[in-house]
Amino acid sequence: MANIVDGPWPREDIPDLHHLYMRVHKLDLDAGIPAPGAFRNRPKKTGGMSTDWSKYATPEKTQARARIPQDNAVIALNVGQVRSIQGQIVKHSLIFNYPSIPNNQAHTDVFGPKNAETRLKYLRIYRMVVNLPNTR
Amino acid sequence: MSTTLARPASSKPKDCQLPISYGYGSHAIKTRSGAELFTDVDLGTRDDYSVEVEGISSITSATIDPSVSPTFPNRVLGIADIIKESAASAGMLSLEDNWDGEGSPAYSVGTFIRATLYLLQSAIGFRLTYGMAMPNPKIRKGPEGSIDLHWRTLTRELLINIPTDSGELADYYGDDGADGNPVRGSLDLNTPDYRLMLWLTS
Repeated sequence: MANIVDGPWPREDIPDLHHLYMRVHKLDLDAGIPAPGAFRNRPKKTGGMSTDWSKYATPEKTQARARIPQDNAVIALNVGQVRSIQGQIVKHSLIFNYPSIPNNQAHTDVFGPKNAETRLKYLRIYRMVVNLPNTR
Repeated sequence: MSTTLARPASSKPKDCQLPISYGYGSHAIKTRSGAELFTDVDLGTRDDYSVEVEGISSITSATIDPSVSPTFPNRVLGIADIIKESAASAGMLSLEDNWDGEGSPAYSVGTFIRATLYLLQSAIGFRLTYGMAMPNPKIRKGPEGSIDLHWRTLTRELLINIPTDSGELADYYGDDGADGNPVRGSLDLNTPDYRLMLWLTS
């Protein structure tokens, strides 16, 4: 499939074998484990769950993009497993020249409902890659 | 009113296999400050119990006291465990808008109370109707100000999402923990329905 050029970077198709990194705020952790509510579309206006594609990111870079990095753990999600959850669409949605948002070639949205079913299934496929100490 | 009476064993409903007698009458669950969290917990008969909420605005996370012992034997009905979980989770009520730096809204007392109320009603009703204990859930922050009720047992996992709008139905999904034997749908929180609890304990 042809790539779409968005600013200086092309928008690419993401292979199933790749991973997505996602920040999980410390208040969304329950004894160090993500609560179901951690899987939500945000920011609400874009309608997708915000993640970074492993091709252009590392867990540490994803954590560093948070407003308060030390308040955020990072999990990894396999793209193929995400796509196996009903209604979930993985879309490379790089950020370039957005007002007040740093450029991010890795940014990827996961669109689709985050209802009770999909959120419970996300709990079964994540892998913790940056832990936070002492989180309830 | 907080009268406690031991119901004679002979008058116990046949399908209500409580290990000991339980109190009936009108009861209250109070906060540390003395405000009534739940009033008129009426266990008069197994069919007409009711739980009403009063003084919602006076409740804060710091004043809910899990050691409060209502005058009925809550250990039989599982109420103490629910109140403890509610108290342990009530810290979410102190969060302000944008608490996660990603624009998530604050959690309202009304949504929190509806979630706790649903658990209390379910625990009491399930026990009195089927004589079984409802497994203990976790109360957790859900998306966009909603609240999640999460059960995980050896053979079942269930998630009920309590919406912020009291007029909306609650979304739920459950399965055997490995995507098998799924149940999904919507719940009217105002209508007692213990089929999910039956499924959860089966």
